[in-house]
Amino acid sequence: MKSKIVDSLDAAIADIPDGARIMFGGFGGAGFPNNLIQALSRKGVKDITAISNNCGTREGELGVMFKNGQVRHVIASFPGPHSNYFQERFAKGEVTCELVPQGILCERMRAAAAGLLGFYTTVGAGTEVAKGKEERVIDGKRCILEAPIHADFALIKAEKADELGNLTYRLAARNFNPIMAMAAKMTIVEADEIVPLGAIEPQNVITPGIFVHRIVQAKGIRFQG
Amino acid sequence: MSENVTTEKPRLTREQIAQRAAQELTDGAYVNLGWGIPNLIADYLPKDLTVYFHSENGILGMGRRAKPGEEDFDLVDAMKVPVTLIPGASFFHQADAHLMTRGGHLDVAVLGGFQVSEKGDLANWKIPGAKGSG
Repeated sequence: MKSKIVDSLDAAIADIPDGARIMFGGFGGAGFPNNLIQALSRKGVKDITAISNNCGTREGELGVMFKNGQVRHVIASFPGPHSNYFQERFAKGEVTCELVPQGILCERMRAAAAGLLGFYTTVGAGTEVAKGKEERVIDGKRCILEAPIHADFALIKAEKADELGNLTYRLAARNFNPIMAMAAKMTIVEADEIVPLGAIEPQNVITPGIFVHRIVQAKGIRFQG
Repeated sequence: MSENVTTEKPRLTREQIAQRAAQELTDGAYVNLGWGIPNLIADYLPKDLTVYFHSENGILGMGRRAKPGEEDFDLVDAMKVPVTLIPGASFFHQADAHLMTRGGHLDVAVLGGFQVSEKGDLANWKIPGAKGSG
C-alpha cells in the first residue's frame, strides 16, 4: 500500500497548481495549517480560490498569501479586522470575495462532502446573501437554495495522525478542519505528531483516514493577535 | 420617551451590562454568547448557577475567561479570547456548533449589537457604507 506520509512540507503541496480551489482550516488563531500555507507561499502558487473562515491575521495564517497576491477569489465568513492584506487587495479590486454566513459555509462544504447538490435555508433570505439564488417558501418560511462548495484541495491541521490518516484534534483547534477534510478531493494534513497504527483508539478518531490523502509532520506555528 | 430623560441616566459600563444580563440566565441552560459585551457574561455568572456556554467554534461548557498564565490558545472563544472549561464540557466541529444554533437546540442566545432600538430592532451585521464587518 502506498504510504500517505510525505517527508516534507514542500513535497506535500508540490502538485497544487495555479488556479486551484483550496480550503484552509482554522478559527480564532487555532487549528490553522500554517506550515502548509507557508509552503504554498514559497512555491508561489497563484490565482487560487481560497475557502476559509477568515482572510488572514496580518501576515499570519492566510495573510501571507494575500500579501503576495496569490489569491484571486475568497469564500469566507469573516474578513475581520486584522486581515489588512486582504482588505488592501480587495479595495484595489485585485481579490473578489463571496461573503457567506458562517454556519452556511459549513453546511455548503458538508453538502459537497456528502454528495448533496444543495439545500434550502432561511438564513440570508431577504438579504444581499440571497442575490441570484432560487427562493421559495417551505412550511410557510421564506428560504433560499444554497449550492455545495467543492474544492480541489483541503489543507488542515491535526494534533495526531496515524499512517492511515485517522486524525485527532486538540481542544477547539478542531473547528473547520474535519468538515474541510471531508469536502475536498485531496486532503493534506499537517500533524503535530504521527503515531503508529492503533495508537489512536478507534473510538477516539475524529476524522477517519478515508478522508485523508497526505500527511506531513510539522510542529504547529501559531500567530497571535 | 424624551431625550432629556435618556441622557440624564447614568451610563452603565460594559461590565455592568454583562453582570445584569447574566442574571437573566437560568440554571442548566445552554447559552450562546455573541460578540462584544455578551462575551463578558461568563465572568459574571451568579455562583449558584450552572450554565453551559456555547461557542460557534465548537465548544459547549465554556467557563470564565482564562487568567494570565493559564491561557491555552487552542481553547479560545468566538472572539479569540482564551477561556476555561467547566465539568461536562465538550468539543465538536464548526458545522455541529452552528447546527445547535440554527436547529433551535440552544435555550438562549445573547446577541451583541451595533445599534438596538427601544423596540428591540437590531443592527448587528454590518454598518452601511463602513469598511469591515461585525
